[in-house]
Amino acid sequence: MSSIAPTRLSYRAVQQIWGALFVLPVLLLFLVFRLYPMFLAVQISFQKYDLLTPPRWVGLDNYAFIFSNERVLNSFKVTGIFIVGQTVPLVLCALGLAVVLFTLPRFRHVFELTFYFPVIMTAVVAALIWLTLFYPRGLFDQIVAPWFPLGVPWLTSPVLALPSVIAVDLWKSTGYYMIILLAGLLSIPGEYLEAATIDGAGYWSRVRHILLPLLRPQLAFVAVIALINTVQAFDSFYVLTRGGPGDATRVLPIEIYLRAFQVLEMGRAAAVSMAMFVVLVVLSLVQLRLFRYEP
Amino acid sequence: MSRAATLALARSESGRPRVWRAVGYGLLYAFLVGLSAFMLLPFAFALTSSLKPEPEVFAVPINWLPSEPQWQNYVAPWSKNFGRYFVNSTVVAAVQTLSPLILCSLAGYSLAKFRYPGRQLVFFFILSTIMLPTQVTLVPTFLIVKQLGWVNSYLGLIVPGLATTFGTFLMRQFMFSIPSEYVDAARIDGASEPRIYWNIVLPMCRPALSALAIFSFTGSWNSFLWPLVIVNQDEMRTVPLGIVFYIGEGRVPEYGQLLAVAVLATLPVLVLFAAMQREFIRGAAMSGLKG
Repeated sequence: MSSIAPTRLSYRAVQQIWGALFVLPVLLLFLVFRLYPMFLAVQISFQKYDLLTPPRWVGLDNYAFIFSNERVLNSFKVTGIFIVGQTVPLVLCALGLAVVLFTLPRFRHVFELTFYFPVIMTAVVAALIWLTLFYPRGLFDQIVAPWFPLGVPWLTSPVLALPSVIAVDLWKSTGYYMIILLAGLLSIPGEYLEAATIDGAGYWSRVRHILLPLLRPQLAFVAVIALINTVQAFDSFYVLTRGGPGDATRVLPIEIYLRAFQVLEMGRAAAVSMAMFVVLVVLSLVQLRLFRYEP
Repeated sequence: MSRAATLALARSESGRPRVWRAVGYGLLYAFLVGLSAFMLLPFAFALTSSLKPEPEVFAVPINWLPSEPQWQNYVAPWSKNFGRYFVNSTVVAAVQTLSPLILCSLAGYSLAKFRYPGRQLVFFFILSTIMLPTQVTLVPTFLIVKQLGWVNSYLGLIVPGLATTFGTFLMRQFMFSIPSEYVDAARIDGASEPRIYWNIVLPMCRPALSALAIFSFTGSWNSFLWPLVIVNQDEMRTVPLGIVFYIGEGRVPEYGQLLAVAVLATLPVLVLFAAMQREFIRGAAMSGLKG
């Protein structure tokens, strides 16, 4: 036995070294393109850098700027409104549709496919199509023509632009969250529902007292993912409004992109992105708390 | 079996008159059919409008169907460099689909089936990047890629997206379901570790790999922000960049042709979706079953 032990050990060691080697490519990619940029972002947020002249340390100037500049503060406000205006209806619609599909005795799969179809479309392509629908005297204007004969400024009114983008994003992404919630519903043991039905529980009370409590982990997951995706939403804004009219839809990702790559204020853009990151982490933790989520 | 997995409308079999239950289901299906029509309407509009002559795209009142199909709308964009954009998108998507199959499955195998120091730390590090917004790493990643001299190149477009968090996580979860006995048996037979991975483990991962492939492909094909940042030469544009270029820049776009491009750009994912519906739906569901 003792003569075998050393060779066995080294064999196991070789084996584990192979195992560690297997993770190396992904680890290296993540170190270079995720962790290192993260540290760089912190560093750049304390610098003035315009790509043309060498970066210069400016201490907290960038942070002082972003918390006093009206344009940046407006972006925080717009993102705040967008988060609430988007995630709440998104989660509610996804939940409602998931419960409705769960109710169906037949053809559930067909509706899964039609609701999921917008999810797989390229965001830019989807936004282009909606742009033509929102076009002056386009399809939507013609639909509302009996009430608004002059047309509706869907994307050109500061009041309507954000709700219009929200509508596009709801159409585009509800299906994804619906599928996750539906999978959660389908994993609930059928006996619970059968027992409740035999006890005479009505449709709503079965939804409220059995499905919703058992669905809480998936709801928490969906709420957090919806938040993360909403905060980062960029493509549809870029195509539909590019932050306009005025700054009415200038959400943080648009603000960061335009500041970094149009006016070349890398430091200030990095500072905004750091603030956005902190907001995102805090909001996610609050949400997990709210749903009493235990991973 | 399938009965247990639904939420019947009726209180119980005898609880309510059958008529009301039928009416309830009827209303439900009518609502869902209407909603489905709304979900598909934009693409249907794009499909018919892509064949319209330019003045008919925004005609009042609306023409649902083109008076005479303009097939040239599908031809003209190719002379405006959209051929090149499609080639670029295809190259990027092909590499970014194949690479996670290898890299993420290797990483997932390592994280699920081996015991070496630091393994948990590596896993939590990779997982934690889900929380990291693209915008935080956007500026610095651009600077890194610029430093490497990869601006306006396939390398710049492709390399930062060679592996994904979702892919690594998905493969790791799936690896747990593979019995370690197969791996151990191969070791006793004297197979080397890379051989075990390639000949034993990888073939058993086929369901997870197909899910990963379709998600990597659609993710890459649809990506916009990173290409927007890293490309400013016409010949390196991907399809979404080409579309945005033709909408913006103050020019008046030809919407018929743009919508034809929109249809063509949707075609690859549409075909994939039609062929692998189950994998799409299951893959999306899987991303929520992290527990």
